Amino acid sequence: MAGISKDEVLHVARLARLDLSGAEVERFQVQLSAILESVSKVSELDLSDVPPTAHPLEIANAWADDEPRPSLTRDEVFANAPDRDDDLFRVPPA
Amino acid sequence: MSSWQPVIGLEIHVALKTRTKMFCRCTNGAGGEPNTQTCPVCLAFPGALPVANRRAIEECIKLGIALDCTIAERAVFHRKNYFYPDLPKAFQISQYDEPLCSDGRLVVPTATGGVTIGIVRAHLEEDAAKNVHVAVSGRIHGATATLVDFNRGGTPLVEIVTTPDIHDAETAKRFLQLLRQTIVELDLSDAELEKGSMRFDVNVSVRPEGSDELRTRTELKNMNSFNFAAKGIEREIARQIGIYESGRDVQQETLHFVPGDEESPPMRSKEEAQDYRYFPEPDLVPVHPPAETVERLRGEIGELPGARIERISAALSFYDADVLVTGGLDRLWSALVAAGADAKEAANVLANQFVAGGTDPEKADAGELAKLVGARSEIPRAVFDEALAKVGDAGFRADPYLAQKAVSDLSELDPVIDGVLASSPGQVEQYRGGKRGLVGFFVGAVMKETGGKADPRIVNERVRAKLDG
Amino acid sequence: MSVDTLRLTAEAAIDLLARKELTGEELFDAYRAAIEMRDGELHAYLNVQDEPNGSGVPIALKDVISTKGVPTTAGSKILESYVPVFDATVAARCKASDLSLLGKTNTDEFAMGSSTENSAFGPTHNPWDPSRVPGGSGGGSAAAVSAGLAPWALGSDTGGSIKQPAALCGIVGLRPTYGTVSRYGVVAFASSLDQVGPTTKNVRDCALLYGIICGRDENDSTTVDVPQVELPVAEDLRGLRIGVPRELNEAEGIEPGVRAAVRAAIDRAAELGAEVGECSLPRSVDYGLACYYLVAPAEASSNLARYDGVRYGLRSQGADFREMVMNTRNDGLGDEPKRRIMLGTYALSSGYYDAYYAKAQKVRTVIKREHDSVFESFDVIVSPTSPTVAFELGAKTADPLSMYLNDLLTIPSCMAGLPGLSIPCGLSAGLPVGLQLVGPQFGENMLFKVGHALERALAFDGVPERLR
Ligand SMILES: [Mg+2]
Ligand SMILES: [Zn+2]
Repeated sequence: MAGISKDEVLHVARLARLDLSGAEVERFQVQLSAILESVSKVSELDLSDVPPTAHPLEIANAWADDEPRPSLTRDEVFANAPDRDDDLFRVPPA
Repeated sequence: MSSWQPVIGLEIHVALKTRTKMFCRCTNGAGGEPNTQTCPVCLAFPGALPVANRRAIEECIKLGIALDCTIAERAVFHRKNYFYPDLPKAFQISQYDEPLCSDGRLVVPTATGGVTIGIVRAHLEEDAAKNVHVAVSGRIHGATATLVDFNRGGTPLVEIVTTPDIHDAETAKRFLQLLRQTIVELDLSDAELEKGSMRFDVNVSVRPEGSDELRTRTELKNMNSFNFAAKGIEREIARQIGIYESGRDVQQETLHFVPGDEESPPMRSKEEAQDYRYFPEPDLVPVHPPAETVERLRGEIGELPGARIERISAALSFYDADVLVTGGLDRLWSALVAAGADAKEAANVLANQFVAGGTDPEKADAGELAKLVGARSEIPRAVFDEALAKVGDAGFRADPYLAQKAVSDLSELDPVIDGVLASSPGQVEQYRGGKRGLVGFFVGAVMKETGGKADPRIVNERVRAKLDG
Repeated sequence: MSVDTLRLTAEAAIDLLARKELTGEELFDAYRAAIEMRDGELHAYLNVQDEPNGSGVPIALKDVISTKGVPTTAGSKILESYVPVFDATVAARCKASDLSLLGKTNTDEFAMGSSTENSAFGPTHNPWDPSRVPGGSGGGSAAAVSAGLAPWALGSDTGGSIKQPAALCGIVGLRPTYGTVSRYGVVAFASSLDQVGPTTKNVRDCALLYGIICGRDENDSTTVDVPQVELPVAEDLRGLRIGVPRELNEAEGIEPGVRAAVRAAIDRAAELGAEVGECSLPRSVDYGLACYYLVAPAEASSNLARYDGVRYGLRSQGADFREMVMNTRNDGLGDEPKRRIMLGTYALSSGYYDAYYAKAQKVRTVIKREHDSVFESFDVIVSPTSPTVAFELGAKTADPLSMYLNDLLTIPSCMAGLPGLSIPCGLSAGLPVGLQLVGPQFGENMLFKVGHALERALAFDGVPERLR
């Protein structure tokens, strides 16, 4: 299971929207393979009857009442916007 | 056709009309100036965190109860990861393998009995924002830029998924209509297709009659009317059967209909295999619906439209029951019957003259309307129609109209009939010569003479008697 | 009066202000002067404020904590130009307590690292020896407090980013129980692990600052109400049961000098009346690192997906949306975030989820249970905070895996959501050694009590020798 192929590196980079250079692909393939090698340790344990822990605290039902609060001002909304068209955020065609 | 069985599954999204969004307290219900209903959470600014909306959770549970679902003792929100301009966090908070509601059913009444459609799940998620693709053509293709308004982003959605055990377009349509009415009556959403507060996708495949295999399905999107959906499904079923019968295979693809345009052929797109990398949303904690909350919500649900159709079908025909309930007339109908009106007669009047009169069923005075229904056969048509148009007016009284009952007293009618016959010897001649159809001419003349007040049934009998006698 | 920022504790500063022997402005200026004098060499700060925004004791905040109107970069090029329009809850609570912001401290990019060398804006240097790292990711906050450039500071800890730098810089650092301090407005790395906590000169300051920032926040669903914070006074440890987990104290890679200093501290604890006994966390140490390097990157891969160049931050050009996003992320993110994003994406992707992420979540249960059972017989467990003292800059940058090993001893309790306090317990080869005290959930008061008593007994001088 450990070890990751160049194609897998490229596939994962695409999923994560990272446009890696050829050199980066080479480097990450070596490094990720080494890391995967060591994290694969987790599959040594027999965990068949162990429940997963998604959260350190066992709490539930943290809800907010359905009461409106003020939204941001237009200036705050666009304060950091790289590009905008009037009141809309502008990006290259999707 | 008969050797193929269609297999249809539905996936419906309904926008809840809560006051605030699913995971932030911005005002829900887009429509304000672009991006004015946004905050660090729904714009996914660094460090912002979601907090679930209590009301949205309760409304999803309520719908789950109405759909006879099992309400989970433990439900979990998951992240569905993908990149798109209208998805600010680059993941949608949805539910995956631990949904709030699952394993339910909705019984769709039909003329031949109820058809049970299984509900796989009804879960909560957040809506995406709105992309505006600006370009010369206005079409996505060749767009020069995409503009984003995040007001809609984060609207609470309930996603309802049916089992693929619908086998004809008509049932699919009826299911959608009944589901919509159920949601609207529960006051969870305005569920308007035009506004997009109710949206649905349809999965269609066909298989040889009798087999239980599931063949390649296609997904139909953006059909924003129920009739359009029925047509689209019919067409797709026929297309797939055609493909198989010509020895080819159906390709898995999505058919994007052009909203509002039923004629132009749908745009086709291949399903590029997605990998959403679902995992439990660590910024939220699990939902453990408290039993008392679930019971309280159960108690808030009245008799649902499906059940009412079935109940009324027993008293009338399925057709009448369907018209009354889907037309929102059944509560008034029950009141009329309670006020002594004949069940069938009341149903006919409501379905026809009442609807034509355009009166709001809520406003009609059942007692007065019942009187009119009882006297329908005795009141001139014109007068009756006029009365029904007014039955919603404040302080409406039936009596003035009942006073205008048709004249059926022979001592009044005979002189008029004799006068008409006397004044048209020619037609009398022709009638006796065999032109029986002329009876209508005489009746019409008498009605004219009496200013429409004569009872046409009596006049008819009387004219024949005099001519044939 | 002149202020010796190298030795003045926050508690003493509060006292001076209360007695009007000093104004908040004078105090602020004293630290500004120290920053002028020493930060050129150390680079603890990414941003320094010119005017105090409060009349109380100043504070430095790690640059992952959103500050309204003040740049917050998370040490990343992709947020170089980002200026928050809202305060993180912890920043707001500092303001509410009238603490004035001195500036934002350096961090490994998105808090991913153990040396602060992953900062896109250059590394921070260790005040004890500028050729060495201050630890990470919160090296900026630790160096600032150690070098008298701030009376106290806030850091954030995912797998050791508060405790390990505190250890390497000879100061006190607390990673609180998960859920006791709000994460709202803190640039996220791994949501189920991230915790904000104090970096201070001594344990009482640590308790004071923790008291200011802790408590449920309606904007963070994962926070809870916490017990009233008690300032420690006790100087003995009678009746306290201290557990010494074999695996955390004998793990390979622990330097002899570190082991000796920790051993000596444990002996002092016994002299103070504590019962010391051995215990075991067999799988927590063996499998903790693997578990952490699956769970944290998985969450990070999703948390960092929002940096798409649409609403804020860097935007690179691209013919269409997809290309723009790929260029933006490739230009704006450094190697370590890229590595962890890819590792996490891989661990969550179809076909690998069950083998990696799902397994890691179960291992997390195992680690939690092991700690629970240990705390049935002990009040606190101790170990070195870091296997080594501060290492040379560049020594581990070529080999990510060797860098990850720095967190071997801090990670297990993080995975279990437990509070951990690191206090300096001596020197090894002239560099500080940190003692890690871990308690049960919500055991902060007890950690303060033990830490305070030991701190008094050990009488460690936290001022770097070269600065005395
Ligand atoms: Mg959905
Ligand atoms: Zn919002």
